[in-house]
Amino acid sequence: MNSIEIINLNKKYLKSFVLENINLTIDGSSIFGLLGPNGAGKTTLIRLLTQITKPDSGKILFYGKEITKIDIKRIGYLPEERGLYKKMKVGEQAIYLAILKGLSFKQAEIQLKEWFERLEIVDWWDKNVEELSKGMQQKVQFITSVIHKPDLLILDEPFSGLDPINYQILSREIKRINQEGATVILSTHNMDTVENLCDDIAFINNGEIVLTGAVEDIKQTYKTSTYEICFGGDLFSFRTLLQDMIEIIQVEQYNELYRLIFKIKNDIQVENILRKLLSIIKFVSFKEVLPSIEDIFVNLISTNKIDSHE
Amino acid sequence: MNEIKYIILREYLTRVRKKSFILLSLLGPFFFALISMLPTYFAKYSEDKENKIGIIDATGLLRKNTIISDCKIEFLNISDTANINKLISNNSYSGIIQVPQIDSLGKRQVRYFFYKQPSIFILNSFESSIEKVVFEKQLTNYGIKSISTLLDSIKSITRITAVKIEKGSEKEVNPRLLNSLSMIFGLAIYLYIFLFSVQVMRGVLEEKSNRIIELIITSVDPFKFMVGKILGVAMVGLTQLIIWILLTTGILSIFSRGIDLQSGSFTSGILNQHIDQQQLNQLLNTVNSIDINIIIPAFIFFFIAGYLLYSSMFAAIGSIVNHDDEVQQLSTLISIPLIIAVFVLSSTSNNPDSSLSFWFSIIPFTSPVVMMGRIVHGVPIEQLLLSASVLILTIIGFMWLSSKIYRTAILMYGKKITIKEIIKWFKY
Repeated sequence: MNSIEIINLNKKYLKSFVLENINLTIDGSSIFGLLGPNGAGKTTLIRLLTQITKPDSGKILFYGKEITKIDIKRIGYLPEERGLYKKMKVGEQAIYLAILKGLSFKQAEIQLKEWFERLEIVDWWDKNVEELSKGMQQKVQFITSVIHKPDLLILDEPFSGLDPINYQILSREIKRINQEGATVILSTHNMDTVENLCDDIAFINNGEIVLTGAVEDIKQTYKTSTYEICFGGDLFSFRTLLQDMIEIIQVEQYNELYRLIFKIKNDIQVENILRKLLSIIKFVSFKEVLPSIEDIFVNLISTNKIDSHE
Repeated sequence: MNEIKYIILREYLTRVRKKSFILLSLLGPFFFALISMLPTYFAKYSEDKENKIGIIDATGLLRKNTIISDCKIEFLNISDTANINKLISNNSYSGIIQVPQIDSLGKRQVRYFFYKQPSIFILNSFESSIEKVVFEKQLTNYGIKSISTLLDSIKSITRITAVKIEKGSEKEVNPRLLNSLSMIFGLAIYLYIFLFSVQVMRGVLEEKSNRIIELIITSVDPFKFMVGKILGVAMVGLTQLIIWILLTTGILSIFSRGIDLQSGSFTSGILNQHIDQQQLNQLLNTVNSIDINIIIPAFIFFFIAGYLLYSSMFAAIGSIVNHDDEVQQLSTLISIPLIIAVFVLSSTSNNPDSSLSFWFSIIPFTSPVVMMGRIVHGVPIEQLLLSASVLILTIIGFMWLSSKIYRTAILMYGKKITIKEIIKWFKY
């Protein structure tokens, strides 16, 4: 089932569109990546989902029904600009925020202790927030956004400032929450995160959705007939044999072996190339190179002549 | 309901646990006690008593009992004139006054020699004492012998006794006490509003600048959160007020007892000195003439209502601004009606039924302060109700308005917010 359906959504700010005619469907079981340059309208879209602001026109369906204020209790949200009360104890503060999400004091305490253990931060329970590093605070904030077991979890740049170990811990938890049934919307500039975690993505640019779909489908669509081959043999005869068929992009040599990345020219079947090569080289590996999400992202932005304003 | 309970609780606990709160709660009463006791203390231990002042009187008219002063006075011989320097430098006298002969024109040059600078009060008291004696002497010189007794008999002290007619019976009251009471009530409300509304604003600004607010308002309704904060801070204020009242009365009673033991009587001494039986009756009548059944509920109402009105405005301000320096300007702007109220209050306490007092006790921005100034003098119940209902309606309006501003402005960073934009927010 779709957890979110956005239909013809418009939002203006001071007469100019921040979001224009947005249509988007998010599958209930997916981790959904929201990508786009700064100022594209991602945060505005998130604020519409979290009911902080209202759209000028259009509607948002949440599990099939138009979203209302009551639904914010079913949404977990980790904002990009996040903070905590500095002078308050970590544990007290987490309990307070959990209660605001609708938990009872008892529930909050039990569930938070579990979470603190899982994220290895039990020792901080009685510390003041101002004693924590930024990364530590981020873990606490993450917990407070998922403590009420939301059906929809919206994370805005959840990994910024985390070290590799904490990055691992957090992505493990995000996957787990998703597997337990929650939809996760991830807004990020980190393309590795998108590749590792997201099932579907949407590119937003200048308030419009430029591209949306499953990560794998998008890669297939934007692939450029680029292949990587690793072989033993003579590089010169390789070049002469395929002269008119390919364009070599990159060559590397390891002892007796070569690693090449090349693009096949139009109308030429990859099978033909392979058949020709069989007689002259010793294959080690051959695979198609799909474009990275980052490449697609950069490509889309530059072809659309987009001004990304910080 | 659970949420708002915990919002209030958090706002309350974080403030009450602060060192500054504890310190202010404990030290405040000592400060109040000190202020209320200082005047009597000063009167009692004025340094005048330690001063020994010598008088060289060439006129021969001055006597100890004609000089009204707290200083020790000794008359010196004319021959001591040559020794003035010596007498002062060996600390026998803190000052010596030299009164020369009176010449025919009545011009005198009285000189005061000193080593330690005398207070202006000492000089004034000597000046008027000498003036009086010499004036009488001059009158006699001109042959108007009995004039001084004549003058005394003409001079009379006029004191108006205020009699209040209430329910057909007459009661002598003390208007001065009523004035002080009305000032005290009005100022208490002013101070409370000012101290604690600003705390609401600071709290809002803190949440905005450390960015926790975005987490919060995606969990609870911003209006609920704002109301919770305002109520939480109100309870902090009430707690402090109660601590202050209890401690101040405690300290005052301990101190006054302590002074009683030391020097006979302190409070009763003052009563004996300044208040005779008739005045005491007046005081009691005055206190009785105040209708406690109206004043206490009214005080509580205007106290809370005034705070609610201003704190909702201050909350909106806190959400609009980005930095502390902007806070200063905007909060000064909002405080203006409150300051006007205090000016009006000083006129109200003297003239509770003037049209100025009336209107400012109806206008909601000034009514909490000004109405409390009027109420000790007695206010028609319909005026009280009018003022209260205007105030309640305004509070509802401003709460609504503030929550509209709050929920949008709280998430705007680094942008100058124009009036035009604010108007747009009301559509949401």
